[in-house]
Amino acid sequence: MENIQVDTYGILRPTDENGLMRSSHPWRERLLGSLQGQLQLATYLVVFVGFTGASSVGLYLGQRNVFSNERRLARANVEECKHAIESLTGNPGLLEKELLFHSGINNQLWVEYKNGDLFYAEIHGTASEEVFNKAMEANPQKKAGLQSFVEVNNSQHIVELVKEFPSGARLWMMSNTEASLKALSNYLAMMILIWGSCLSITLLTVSWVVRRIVKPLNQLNLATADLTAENLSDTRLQLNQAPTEIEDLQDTFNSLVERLAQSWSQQKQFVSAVSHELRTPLTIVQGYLHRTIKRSKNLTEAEIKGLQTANEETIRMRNLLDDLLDLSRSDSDRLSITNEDVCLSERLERVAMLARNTIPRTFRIKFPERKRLIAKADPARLQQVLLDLIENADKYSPEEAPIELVLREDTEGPAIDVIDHGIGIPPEELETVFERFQRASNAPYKTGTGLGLSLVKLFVEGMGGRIELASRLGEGSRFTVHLKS
Amino acid sequence: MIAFLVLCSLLVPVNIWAAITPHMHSEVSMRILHGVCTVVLIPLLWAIWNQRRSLQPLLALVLAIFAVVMVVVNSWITVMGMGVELGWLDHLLLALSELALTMFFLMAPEPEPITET
Repeated sequence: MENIQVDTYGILRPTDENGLMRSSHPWRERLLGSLQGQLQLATYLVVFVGFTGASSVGLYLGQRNVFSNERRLARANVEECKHAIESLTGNPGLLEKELLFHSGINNQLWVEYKNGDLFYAEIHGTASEEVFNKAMEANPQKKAGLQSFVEVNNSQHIVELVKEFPSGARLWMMSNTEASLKALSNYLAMMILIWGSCLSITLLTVSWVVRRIVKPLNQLNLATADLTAENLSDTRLQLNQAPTEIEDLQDTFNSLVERLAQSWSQQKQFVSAVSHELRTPLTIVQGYLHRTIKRSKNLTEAEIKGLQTANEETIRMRNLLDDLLDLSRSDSDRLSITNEDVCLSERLERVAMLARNTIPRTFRIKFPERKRLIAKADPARLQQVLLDLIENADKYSPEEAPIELVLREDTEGPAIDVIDHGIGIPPEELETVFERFQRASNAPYKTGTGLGLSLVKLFVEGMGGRIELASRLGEGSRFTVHLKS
Repeated sequence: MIAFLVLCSLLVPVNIWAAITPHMHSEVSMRILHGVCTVVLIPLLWAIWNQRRSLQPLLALVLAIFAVVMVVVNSWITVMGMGVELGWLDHLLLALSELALTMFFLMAPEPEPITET
């Protein structure tokens, strides 16, 4: 279930399993928190800065050079004719010819007389007085040499007052830059296209390379997550085409797992040996205690009580050693379970009788209509399973609450329910209570070792059955042993 | 959000190009550019307001004032059209604002969670 906390702005935000608030910017985590995101961002920045710089400088220089060239050509044209124009200002016929000779569709010259009249060569479709007046408005101070931009007929033009003659007349020049601007525009479009392609290809390549780098790390992560005591000796990481650094990590991981497997094996051997070695003297001690209690005539009540306590403790310790031995045998695949046909009603009655001897509690036993249910099971292990479950039910139930033992047959086959009305198990721990050394978090302190239910599961599954648990906090638990018929 | 930041980052070179080539764009394209640049600044102002407690006050104030000025000036340009003096400078400032926006969203600190005592 998702936990919620309130942040500093009073906004509800989800928290992770450690109680830390998740980022309010998941995109930022994806971009800056992962190796792939960081490399993609770095690549984007490099390509972006490089392109922006190159395109801007290229555009600036290109524009400057194009306009400079335009101006130079126009000026050269004007330089050739301005002396002739100066001498011809009094001869309109020759002046028009001269202006016409040096004008064209993209480059026009005209003379502005002192009285404001304009003199220009008529070229079809280009010049008009209105256009020249608009062009001259770009330089209201009539400053010679000043170049200005004017938009005429949706085209950009450079306008310059070339020279002011002693007579007061002014020679103007106007040059169309539309072709140059179009060339620049094409250059910019081409740059954008190339840049977009380069950026896409680079990002795709980086994504592919990063996935290739990260893949072995994910494999390593999965292998580490799947590592358990049972598969330590079989787990070996084998990465294909990993970088050298990751291969080193793989070797280190394999070496670590090998050492762990060795330690685990030694630990199992130690537990097995110690349990086995301790069991024999404990049995002897228990025998002597039992015989002393039975046969000695001159013991006081207190001494008998003390010896009985010692006897019970040795039995408890022997049971614990038996559990450890069973687990150890299971780990080394030496656990012996021999299935045979078992009459479950008889076995259940026997278990109930044994339980009544040690547990002063009401037992309610319920049999099915067809009382003689046969299942494939190891009789001794089945008895141990049921006694463990009953002991468990007794431990966590109030004194007056009964324990119910129900034998029934369902769609899977025969099943035995052990039902208590005790403290119950928290829902999130229903799976983990069957793991070794795991106890429910609401279990009273110092009750059991946490091995009982793991052995129950081990034996039931060893007999080909399965164990099922249903529980409600404060209401009790129901353990169901499903067996094969 | 990543797509939004990519869009904002792309507005940086576009504004630089617009500053370099004042005669290469049409009236409509320029209005669109000013309009888009103005609109993307709104989330920045909203985020600054939301995160004001976790930001450095001086930097947040400077950025907020800058963004507000850019929004006001460029809204006016979007409505009134081209022909503004020093238009190239406005484009450079727009490029700077888009850069600041991207940096802010990438680097602004997240709000501190409340710790129970």
